[in-house]
Amino acid sequence: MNRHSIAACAAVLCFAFSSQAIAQSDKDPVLALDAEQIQLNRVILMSTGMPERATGEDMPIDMSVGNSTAQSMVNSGQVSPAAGAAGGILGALVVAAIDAGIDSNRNGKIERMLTEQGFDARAVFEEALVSALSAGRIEASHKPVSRAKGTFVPVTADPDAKHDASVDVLIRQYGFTIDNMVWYPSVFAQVKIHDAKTGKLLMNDALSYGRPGLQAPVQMSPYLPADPNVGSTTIVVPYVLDSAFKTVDAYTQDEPERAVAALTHALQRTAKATAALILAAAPSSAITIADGPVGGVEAETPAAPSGAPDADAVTETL
Amino acid sequence: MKQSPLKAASAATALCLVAACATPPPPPPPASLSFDGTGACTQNIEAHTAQTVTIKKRQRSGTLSIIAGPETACQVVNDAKLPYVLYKLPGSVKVSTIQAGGVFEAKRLFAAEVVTLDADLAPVRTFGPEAFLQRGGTWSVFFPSRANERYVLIRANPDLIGKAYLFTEQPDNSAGTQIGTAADAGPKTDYSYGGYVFARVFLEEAAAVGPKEQ
Repeated sequence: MNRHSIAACAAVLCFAFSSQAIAQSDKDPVLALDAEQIQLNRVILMSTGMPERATGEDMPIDMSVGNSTAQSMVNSGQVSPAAGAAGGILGALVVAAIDAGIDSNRNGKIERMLTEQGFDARAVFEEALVSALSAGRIEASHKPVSRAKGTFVPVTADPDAKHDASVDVLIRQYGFTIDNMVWYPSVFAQVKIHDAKTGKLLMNDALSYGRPGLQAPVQMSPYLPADPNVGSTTIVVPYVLDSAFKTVDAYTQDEPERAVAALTHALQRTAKATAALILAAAPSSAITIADGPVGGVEAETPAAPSGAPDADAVTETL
Repeated sequence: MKQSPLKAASAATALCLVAACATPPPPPPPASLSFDGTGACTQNIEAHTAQTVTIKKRQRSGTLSIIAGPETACQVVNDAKLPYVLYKLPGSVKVSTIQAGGVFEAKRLFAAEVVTLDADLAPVRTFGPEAFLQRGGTWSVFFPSRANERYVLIRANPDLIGKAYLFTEQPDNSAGTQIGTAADAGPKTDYSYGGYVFARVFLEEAAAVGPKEQ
């Protein structure tokens, strides 16, 4: 294989991986809300950014010779990854095309199933988000917006704004994701909050539901500690253990009601975890002073886990 | 026939590599459920134990991970000896956000609590278990830095020992917390007095100076 073929193969591989990757492509820094700096009473919720359709995410076929992993076998079915690599650039292209065909077929099945079930992902997510915010005494109102595909809504400062901040949630993926040869409901969302009056970015965070491989990163390499850089700062929302499906047909044909219930739950939990981040600056999140023998320590919970009880004082001493 | 020293060295290197490949990796360290502090534990946090989290020039974040446990410093709190790691925040750069906590390992997770301290090592805020989230491969807190915070302390929280972090949602757990016990179903990792901890610092702007100047 000459140098050009290797470069071309690398390009194909990069494409295969990048097409699967859920990337945070913008350059805004990750940020957490600071309740000391801002208190949120009223927020505007931009209409949630949604992907074109629900998808079933698997691992792309690994075309390196001798690396036919369990996941790529599941993905490919009859296609041998090594055969693709052995065929050089042409083989790689053929395998990539077959992979894309399999993805398209699976996504079509998911789309048909969700349509038949009358599933509205945006409505499920927004209802759960507004409900959780209201419970935390933040008044949230919808703002219909149009946005370019896969992007956040441009923010402009409005000194006369009646609300405190704008919340923009971009769901980059929802559907199902394979992990260890079974499928789980999955959601990947990114949320940005801007100060309504100044337009300043107040929060930028990301959440991932499902993808059990992310849940216990150590399982990927049992003898080494997980690298804190792996997965970055993305919040991993705990999934339901028995929400797995063995095959694509199981969630698209055999058990559509269970599939919709699992996906509904995934979206609701992601919304609740998103709300928990915003509620760090809610009027109810009073800062309390802990009492300890060696002077008081201010205790607070900047981002309580979803569903966590109200954060009482943490009485620790130094 | 005379063998060149280079060939001999190459052969030795190859042998070493083969031997290294043949050696099975050590088993993952288990959770430490007790801590007796082999070193002398102090009543106060000692500034000289601090290690600075630095950021490479033109980068916007830097991470420093350390194995906390018998090898690191310890403090006596309410008659209990608790291992800790003290991180100093970099100077001459404007810190935006801090992430700190434990790193998931196969069989253990450091039972972390995080305290921020000012320049005199007086506590500013304390983050208990309910402030922690699983973020990537870590169990950590993520918060905007305040001007008077100069150190980040990660210390063992004895209340977590004997408990486990649960990776799955617990339908019967009305509190919604992910902290349970080994008896709970699903994948989990035990809290430990020893294990990897880390502090990651995000800057407002890319670092204009390198680690030596920080």
